[in-house]
Amino acid sequence: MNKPLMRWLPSATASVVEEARNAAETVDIGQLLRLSLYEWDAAGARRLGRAIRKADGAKLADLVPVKLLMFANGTAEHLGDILTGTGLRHGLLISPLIIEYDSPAAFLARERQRVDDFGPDVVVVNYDCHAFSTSTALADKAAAKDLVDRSVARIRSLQEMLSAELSKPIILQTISPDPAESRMHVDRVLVGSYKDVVHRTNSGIADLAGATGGLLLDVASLAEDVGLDSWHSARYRAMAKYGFAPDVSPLYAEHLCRLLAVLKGKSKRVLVLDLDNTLWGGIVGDDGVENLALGLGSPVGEAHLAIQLMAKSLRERGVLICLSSKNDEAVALNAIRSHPEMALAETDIAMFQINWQDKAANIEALSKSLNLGLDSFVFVDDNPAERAIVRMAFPQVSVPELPKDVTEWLPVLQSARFFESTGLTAEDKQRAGYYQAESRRAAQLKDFAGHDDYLKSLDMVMDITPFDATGRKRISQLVSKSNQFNLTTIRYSEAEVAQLEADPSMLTAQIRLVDSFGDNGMICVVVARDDEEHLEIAVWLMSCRVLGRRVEEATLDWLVRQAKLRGKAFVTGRFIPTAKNMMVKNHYERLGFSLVDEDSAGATTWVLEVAAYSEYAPPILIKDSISEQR
Amino acid sequence: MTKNADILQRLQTIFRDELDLPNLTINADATPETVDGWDSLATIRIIAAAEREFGVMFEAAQIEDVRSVADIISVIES
Repeated sequence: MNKPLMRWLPSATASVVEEARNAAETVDIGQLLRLSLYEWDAAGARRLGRAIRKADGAKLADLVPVKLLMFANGTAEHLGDILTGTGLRHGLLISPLIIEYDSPAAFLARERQRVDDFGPDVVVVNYDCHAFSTSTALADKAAAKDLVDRSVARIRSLQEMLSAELSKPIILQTISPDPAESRMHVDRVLVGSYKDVVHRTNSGIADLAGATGGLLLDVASLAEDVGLDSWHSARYRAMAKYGFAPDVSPLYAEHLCRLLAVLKGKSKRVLVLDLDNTLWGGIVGDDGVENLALGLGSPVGEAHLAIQLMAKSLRERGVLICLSSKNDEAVALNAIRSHPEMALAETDIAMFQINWQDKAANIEALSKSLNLGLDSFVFVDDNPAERAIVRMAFPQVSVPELPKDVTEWLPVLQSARFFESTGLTAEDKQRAGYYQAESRRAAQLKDFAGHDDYLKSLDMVMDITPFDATGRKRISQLVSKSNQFNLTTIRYSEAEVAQLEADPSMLTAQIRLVDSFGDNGMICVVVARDDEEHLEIAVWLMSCRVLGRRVEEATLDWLVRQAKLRGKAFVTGRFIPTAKNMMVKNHYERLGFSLVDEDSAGATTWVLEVAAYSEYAPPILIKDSISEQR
Repeated sequence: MTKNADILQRLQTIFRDELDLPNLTINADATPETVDGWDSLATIRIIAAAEREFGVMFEAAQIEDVRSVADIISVIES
C-alpha cells in the first residue's frame, strides 16, 4: 500500500491482509467489523464490501441499513463495493445504486420504477469539476457573477427536483478545481478566473446545503488534504472519466460514510482522553505535577496544550469531554486542579474514570453512566496497547491511531473529522453545560470479558536477567524514579546497584517485556535476599504502563520457582506506604500472601508458603537467564 | 518461483479481487474474451490495482493496448 491517506486508522499488516482474504470466504461478521477498522486500499475495501454482502441477513442486525442512490457525472460504479466495505467501519450496511453519466431528471423519467423498487434513504449528487463549465470571465465582475449563478442554479434546481421527486435527504458536494485549468497566483486576485469561479461556486453549493439540512461533503477540502495533484488523476480521467484518482477512493468513501452515519443518528458525541502523555507530557504519579510537560515553552508542552485546546473547542460544539486514565484519582485530579497551564478546567469535563482498570471497562462504564452508545465515543490515548484493547473489545468506538511524536497528533485528529455534524444548534452549545455542575465518576465495572484473549493476542515475552553492568544505569533510574507501583520505595544509587550485582546472597532481576507492539523496555525490577528459610523481597517495582497485563503474576511465578531452587519454604514481602504508592497497598494480598505483621506506620509484612503455591501461569512466555545459569 | 510466475501469481490475486471471482485461474494468454467480466472498465480497475501492487505506472496508451494478461506483464517488466 502507498503512503497512508488516513493516518488515524491503523495500517493493515501482511497478516491482517491475509486474514481479510480468508475472512472474505468465512464471512464472520464480528471479524469483518474488526478488520474494517484498518486502513484499506481500494481493493481491500472492496473485498470487505463483497464479503459483507454475502453475509446472512439475521447476523447483520447491528448494522444500520442505508440505501444510497448516487448520481455521478463520470464513472463511479467502482465506488459501490468500496462504500459498502467502508460503511462497516461506521456501523452501516450500505447498498448503493449508482447512476453514471446520465442526467438525474432523464433517468428518473425513464426508470422511475427501478428507483422506487430500490427505495433509497439518501441521495448523493457526486458531481466533480467536469460537471461544471470551465469558462472564465476575466476581470468582468458581472459576467463572473453570472457564471457562478448559473452553476449554482443548476445544482439548486437539481436539488429541488430530487427533493420533490424522492423526498429523501440529499447530500451535495463541493468541487475540487480541475488541475488542468490555470493555477496562477494572480487568479486569486482576478475576478472571474477559474479559481475564483470555483471558489464562489463552492460557496453557493455550501449555502444550498446549509439551507436544507447541512448535508455537505466538502470534497474540495479532501482534495486539499491530499493535494490537488494526488486527488485528481489526469490519466484515469482521460481513460475512464474517473472524478478522482482511484487511490483516493477509500478516503472519499470514508468521509461520505461518516456523513451517512451522522444522518443515521450515529454521530460522535464523546471525546475520551487519557491523561499521562496525552493530556500532558509525563507521568504525574511518578514525575509529580511540577515536572509535567504542558504549556508554552517546549514543543512537547505546547503540543499537549494544543490537544487540550482542541478538546475545549469541541466542547463548544456540544461534544462531551471525558477522562480515562490509569492513575491514582486524587493525584490526577490534583494535577488537573493545580497545574497552572491546564487549558481544560475540571468543569469542562463531563465525567471521568481514573483507576487502574482496563480502558475498555472504563469506556463501557462511561457509556452506561452517560447513557450514550459506544458508537458515539472517540478514545484518544498515546499507548498503542490501550488503543488495541479498546478496538478489540468495542470496534464501534473510534480509536485513532497516533504518531509517536505528540507534535504530529493534531493534524491526524483533525483530518479524521470524527465529530462531523450537520450544523450547530443552540442545544449543542449548551449540552456540555448540563454536566458542568460537577464532573462525576462513572460507576466502575469489571475487566471486559475478552480480556484474557486480548492478553494472549499480545504474544508477551518476559525477559528476566540478573543485574549487570549494561542495565545498571536504567535500573538505578527506575529504582529512583518509580513511585506508584513500588512496594518499598527503597532507592539505590548506581554504585549500590553495582554492589548488588556482585552479592551472592541477593537475587536480582531486571525484567523486560516484549509484545506484539514492540519492546516495552525494562518494566520491572526485583531484588530479594536469602534469609534462612525465606526468600525475602526487598524491592519490587513495576512500570504502570504494563498494568493489567498480569506481569505481577508472572513475576511471582518466577520468584516462587527461584525460592524452590534455593530450597526456601517461604517467600516474604513488605509494603511500606508512601504518599504515592497506595495502589499497591493490597498487592501481596491480591497475590495470595498472608499478613503476618503491621506496624504503627502502616507498613505490612506478608508471607507465602512455597509448597502450597500453584502457579498463576498467565499468557506470558518467561525467558529466564537466571535459572539457566544455576 | 521465476520472476514471471511471481508476477502472474500476484496478478491472479488482483483479477480475483477486481472481478469478484475467488477461484479464477489466469495464465499469460488470458484475454477479455476468455475471462468473465473482463470489460474495459474492469481493465481500468485491474490496472489501478496493479499500479499499487507493483509500484509501476502505466501510460494511457499502454492501457489502451492491453489485450491480454501478457500485455500487462510486459509493462510491469519493462
